[in-house]
Amino acid sequence: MAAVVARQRPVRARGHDRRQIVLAIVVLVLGALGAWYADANLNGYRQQLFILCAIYAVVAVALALTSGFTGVFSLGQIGFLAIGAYVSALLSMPPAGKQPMLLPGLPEWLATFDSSGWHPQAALLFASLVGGLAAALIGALVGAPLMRLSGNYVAVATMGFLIIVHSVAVNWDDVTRGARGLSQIPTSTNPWAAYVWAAIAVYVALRLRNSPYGRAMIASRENIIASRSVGVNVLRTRLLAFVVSAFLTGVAGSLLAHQIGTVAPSGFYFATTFTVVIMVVLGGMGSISGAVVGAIIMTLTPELLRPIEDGVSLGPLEFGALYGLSNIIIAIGFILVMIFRPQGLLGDRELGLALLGRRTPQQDASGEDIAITPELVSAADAANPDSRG
Amino acid sequence: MSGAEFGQQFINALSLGSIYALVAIGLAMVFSILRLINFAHGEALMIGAVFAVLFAERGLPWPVWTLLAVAVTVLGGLIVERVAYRPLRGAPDVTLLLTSLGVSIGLQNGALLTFGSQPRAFPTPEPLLGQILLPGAVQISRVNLVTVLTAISLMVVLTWFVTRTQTGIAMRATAENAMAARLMGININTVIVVAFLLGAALAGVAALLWGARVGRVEYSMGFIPVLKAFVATVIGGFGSIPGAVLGAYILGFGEIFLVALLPDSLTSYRDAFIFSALILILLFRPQGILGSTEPEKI
Repeated sequence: MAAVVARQRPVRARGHDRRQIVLAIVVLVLGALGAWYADANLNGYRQQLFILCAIYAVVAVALALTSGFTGVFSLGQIGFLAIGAYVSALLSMPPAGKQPMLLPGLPEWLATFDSSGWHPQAALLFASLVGGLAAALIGALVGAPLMRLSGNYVAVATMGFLIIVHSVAVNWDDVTRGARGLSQIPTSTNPWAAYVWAAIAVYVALRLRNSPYGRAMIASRENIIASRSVGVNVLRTRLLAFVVSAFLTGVAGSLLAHQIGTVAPSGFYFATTFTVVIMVVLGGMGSISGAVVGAIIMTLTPELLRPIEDGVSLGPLEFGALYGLSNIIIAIGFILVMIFRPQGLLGDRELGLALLGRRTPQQDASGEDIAITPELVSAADAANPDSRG
Repeated sequence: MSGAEFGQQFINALSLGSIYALVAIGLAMVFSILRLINFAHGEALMIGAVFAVLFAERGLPWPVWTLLAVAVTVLGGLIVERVAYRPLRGAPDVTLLLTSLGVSIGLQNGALLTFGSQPRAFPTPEPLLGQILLPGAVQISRVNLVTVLTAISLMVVLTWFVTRTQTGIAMRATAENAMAARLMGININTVIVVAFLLGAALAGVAALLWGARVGRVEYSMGFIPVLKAFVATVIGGFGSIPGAVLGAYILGFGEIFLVALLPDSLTSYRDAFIFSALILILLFRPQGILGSTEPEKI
């Protein structure tokens, strides 16, 4: 059968591709307009909300990449967010804030590294890339053994990773300043930087998914044994998704650190993990645009619910401050989604294509015989590129 | 470490392990039947402790408020099963796990809303206060002693229940093979309800013991014990009740003696060590010490 598979070329729907390109351009232009509007016209608070939406879109897309595409459910994503945030913060802080008196554990070169003379955006880009690479490196080290696990086991093991990262951030006083966290980080994340990284994340995820590697990911999610039998290296496929995801999350961590100006361990723990998981599950685990939509909804909802938390009056009834109410509403909504629409808003589909009334290749394939679906075909291509043609 | 000091630490570790065991049994029982990692189990512990405080503040005598607190915890467990988990029968493992995370966040914030964010003192009953002096200058607190005795007697009762009663045997049969159990005429829903009932009851007792141990009650207090209980079930083997108990005691002893033996600079990294061990176990022996669940490994 391998020969039969090898002779088939990956299914390329030309018209489909063109529609996707048009759509991508439309979305890019709309996003750029949004960034321009946010940068030029919005007040500080709304601008920050725009930036937050974009940053969380990066994190959610990254989580969709590993959890949605390969089916390896990671609860450790926020550990990479923390690594990116701390590494980039240590790079960008002015040397005055990194003196041995404050942070005795820093090596000399890092303590004296000074990017405050650079263009702020160049310094931010540099810190973000280094933060992302650090997260990717740790992702590779952690992922190599952990990606062997599946189901509940991988969720638990990655949660263990998150707890370890948190414990180090809290206790490594000489470098992280413990629970107090790091401050004096230049607040250089502007709407443009956040938007460009969100666009990059979406682009990378889309390209990856439509590549042979992405099809191998989805094939291994659907059926490990079947995908292996056509030559997919499941471990390598999962690891690729995990490392790319760690890189993007690390970059998002850097953007977050440079938005708020401080990083503290409490911001990178279970509450954030849960929020990001909801974003991806709400949008649909296998959908990139779903992750973006989920990120926007979950960033804005708490802000919309905030007035209720601060206390409301309904006619004669006066309610005082109701702390925790917005989280209760979100939790109940989430449980309802799990019960009544576990595939999320979009499932595996992408937003634009759904609007255009076209089915995605994944769906077209689902009706066919399992043996030679396009995913498996190109998954086989990914596994042995030499055997093509 | 002197002999007396060792004796004290030994009882302390035994007591900590006992509380972890009570929580871990509930996790293991539910997991063995539903394959649900019930994160919200920690919230059962929190609810028990919160209601203990609320009832005690009404001036009830302690035998009454302890019983009431356990009863409310059981009620809470049954409601959560009915409302959140029963509609999800047959859903993928990860869906169940995520739902339990949702339940956990919802209950925690519910407590934040009603009970407030400030910790309150746990009303430890008079007879539990103070120390007992054993021969050899070993001084142990009454709380620790009562914890160990309560936990061990409950475990004896539980062992009797699962090996000698019809419902208990049905539970074990369902854990072994739900389909076959069903064909033998076992009502799976009843078994699941009983598992939640027992788990919540044990968590309610654990709540009282944990409250007496740490001395305060707050909305987020369920988080640490459930994480530890969870590690215990992984050490012992997912879904094995004796394994969960064994794992809980290993963890209790590991935690207490790690702190006693490690240099001070490393003790604060205790959790990092514990969870590194957890990851190693998952990688090299995912079925744990006593577990028989098929490892999901590629």
